[in-house]
Amino acid sequence: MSAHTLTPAAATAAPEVKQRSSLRMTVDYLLKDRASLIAASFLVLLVLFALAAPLLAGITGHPANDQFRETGLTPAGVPVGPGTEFWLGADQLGRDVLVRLAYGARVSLIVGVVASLAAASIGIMVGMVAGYFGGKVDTVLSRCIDLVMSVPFLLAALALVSVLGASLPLSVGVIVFFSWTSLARVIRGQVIALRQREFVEAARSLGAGHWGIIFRDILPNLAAPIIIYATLMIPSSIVFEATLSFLGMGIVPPDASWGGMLAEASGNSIYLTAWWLVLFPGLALLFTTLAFNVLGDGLRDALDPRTRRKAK
Amino acid sequence: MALLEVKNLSVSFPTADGTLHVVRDVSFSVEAGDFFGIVGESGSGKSVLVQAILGLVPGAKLSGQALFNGRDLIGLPAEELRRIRGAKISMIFQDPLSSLHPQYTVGQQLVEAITTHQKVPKSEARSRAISMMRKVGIKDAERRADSYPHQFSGGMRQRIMIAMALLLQPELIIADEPTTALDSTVQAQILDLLSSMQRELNTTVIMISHDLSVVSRVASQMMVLYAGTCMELGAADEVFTSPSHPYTARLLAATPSVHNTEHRLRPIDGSLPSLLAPPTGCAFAPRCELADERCRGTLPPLEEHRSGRLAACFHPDTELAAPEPVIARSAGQQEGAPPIISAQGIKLSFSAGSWPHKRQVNVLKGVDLQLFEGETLGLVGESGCGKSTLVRVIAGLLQPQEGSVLVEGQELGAPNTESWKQARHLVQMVFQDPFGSLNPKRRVGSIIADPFMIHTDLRGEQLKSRVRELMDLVGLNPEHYNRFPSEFSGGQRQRIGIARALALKPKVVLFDEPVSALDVSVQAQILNLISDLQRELGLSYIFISHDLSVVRHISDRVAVMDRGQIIELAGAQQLYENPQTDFTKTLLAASARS
Repeated sequence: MSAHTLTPAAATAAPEVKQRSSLRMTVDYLLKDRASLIAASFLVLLVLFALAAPLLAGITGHPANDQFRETGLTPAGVPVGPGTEFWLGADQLGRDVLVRLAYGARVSLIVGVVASLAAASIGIMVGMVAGYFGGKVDTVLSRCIDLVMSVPFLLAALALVSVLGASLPLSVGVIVFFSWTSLARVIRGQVIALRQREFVEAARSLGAGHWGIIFRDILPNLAAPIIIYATLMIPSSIVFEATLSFLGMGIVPPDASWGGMLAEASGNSIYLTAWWLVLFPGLALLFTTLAFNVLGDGLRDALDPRTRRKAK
Repeated sequence: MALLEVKNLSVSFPTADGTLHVVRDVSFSVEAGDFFGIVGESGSGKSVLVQAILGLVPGAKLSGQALFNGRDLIGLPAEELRRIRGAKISMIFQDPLSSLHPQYTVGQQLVEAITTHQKVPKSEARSRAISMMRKVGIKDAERRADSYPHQFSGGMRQRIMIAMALLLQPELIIADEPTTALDSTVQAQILDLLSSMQRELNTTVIMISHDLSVVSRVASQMMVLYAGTCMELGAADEVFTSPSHPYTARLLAATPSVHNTEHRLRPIDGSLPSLLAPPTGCAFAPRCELADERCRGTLPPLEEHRSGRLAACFHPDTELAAPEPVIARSAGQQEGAPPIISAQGIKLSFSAGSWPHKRQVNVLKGVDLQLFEGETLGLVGESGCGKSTLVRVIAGLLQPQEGSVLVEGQELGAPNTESWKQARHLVQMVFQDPFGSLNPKRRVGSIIADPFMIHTDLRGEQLKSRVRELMDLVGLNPEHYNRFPSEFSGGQRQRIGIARALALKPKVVLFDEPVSALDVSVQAQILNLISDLQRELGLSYIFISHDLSVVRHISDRVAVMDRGQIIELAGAQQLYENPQTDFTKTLLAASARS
């Protein structure tokens, strides 16, 4: 083959300035964004906190579900506040709030991540199929999305729990069922735009099948919206779970969850005297959702140059 | 005194990767009444240069002077610059659709252009707007003033933009690639309009273009930019006919011409130097055959050579080596051999609009076409004539409502049938847009390997070595296997697209405007590659282009399409020398170059 001798210089002349990969640019941008950096560090600490839950129980000597009525409650039956024995105070049954917070973090993170991943997978599949095939398939799937979006989630959740009984898998299931729709809509829109691109036509002219095109050509181009929306879905799942637990439909007591802790604190108006029962779980919930949202926004700015320019 | 005098202007952008030196130390002056052309390939800094002077490039660092009527525009407050723009200097952009507001009628927009800068009653402004519309050749201007931009064709919209630019009788009009988005016949009309308006109203025009011949047709003075530096400056026709700088000469040698088909195109090897680290010497030195140590070490000054022309070169006016003659094609059309592709009575229509205004748009109205082994069939026509659709039907991407396509005598069936899949091994396609036709998220190796993954069970090392062979074949460095498309230049990307099309060893390759998105110097590289591959592999081509000289250069036979039909088909030479239909004559006249 002699064709390569045509213009060897053109092909071999390596560019002097190396282009950075998109991953490198995203990381560089995130490292410069102080808010994202703080949010990410907070989340790392939170994961360590959750992982260290048994360790904390060992150090304090207070297993999560054990009641310390002698040390945790005053003779009058009022829980003791933050101090050397109970670092973040004790609850109305004499349990350690710090240890329960750590175990609650496990529930929140597991529910948040698992439910978001499951919801994202469903949303991506439905969105890609609806957007790619269009026509009747799109009509049916889009109406399904509308249908799910119009179901009042609390009513449905209440009904399901009263029939099936509260449990962790059920609350994850309920959260997944109600949160895949928004991602599906976004993905559908993106796929409709991508489907028109010339590289999809090129793949078709090579003889690629529909599923080959969907997974090998279209899916990689959806990385940015998927990462962004999945990150933003985690905090809403956490709040979702807390809401369900607060209403007594999520995690079954005596297992700890942030929503359950808030519910117990408000249940018998104990928070009027024991402020720590509301403050610490409330702050944990607030900062966790805030951190995920800030990180999601940062990722969006880093991955999508258009919003980045507006942000500046 | 010159109307606009630019002295030692430099423009740079601080970016995350370092400082981009887009324009470096450019000086020129435009006398009142001049038609001044600025020519350069993409990345030469031609648009940035002009926009920076007008304060239209946010974030740019400027140094030097730009004296407009003796007043320095650089460093002027934004509010004062805004008053000068529009009233004293107006601009015409490449895309007239995006420069006009879609929700107002053109009349309203023209009136607004007047009333923003001058205190005149609405009725007077309107009558001025309408008379200007008439002047730029819009028939029935009174009524058309109430139409919206989308109700005009591209050429008409550009006329309206010109009317808007002329309304306030500015001293200077800057036209940035005003005809690039237009068909060649319309392009010729707009250029004529611009130069007649310039003469009639005695305004000064600066026109920016990537096309030397377009500029030389209308401009009196011309400046050639390369990598942000001025290469040559002088009378336009002189620069065009006897260039002083080797870059200008090479650029002309790389441009295919309708009249000269005896010579191989001479591409300029290499690519534009990085603007992040511009060379210390002459910017063109790395690609120049005349370059020596002095050229690489020191920047040649812009000096007067031959007949008052300025060129920044230590070796001006050197004759370049004569181009090689075209190598005769071995395989031609064999007498009596059956066609490799035969399309018969292809009819295709789309339904457009939505109920109740749904209507059928007939894109192809019964097309017959035959392609013989080893030949190149050029397909020309204006945008919207159906040439891309026809090629997609032949490629099996669209199914015609009537008619059939035979590939080697076999009927091309519906998509994903067995016969259709078989046809993938025979017919492949190279797309127009080197940016859009490669998946940005996949590595080059995987893009070129795609056809093997779909049609063969080659995997692992064997697959890799086949991909490397293909990359070698089209002149890509096989070491770049793991890079993403964004790391390649436009020309290299088109090589990737060609490699992918050749993977299954097809007999026919369909090219849909493969070089229209490329710069002239790179275009020549790709055109030469395409003809060399044909000779070596015995391929048959259908080659679409809106550029008649490109088609003339590469084709054996040429088919002219208009409104969904082939109206003329003849040998290339015969068609260009003796066109039969009026439409072909107009097309040829529009693209005729000096």
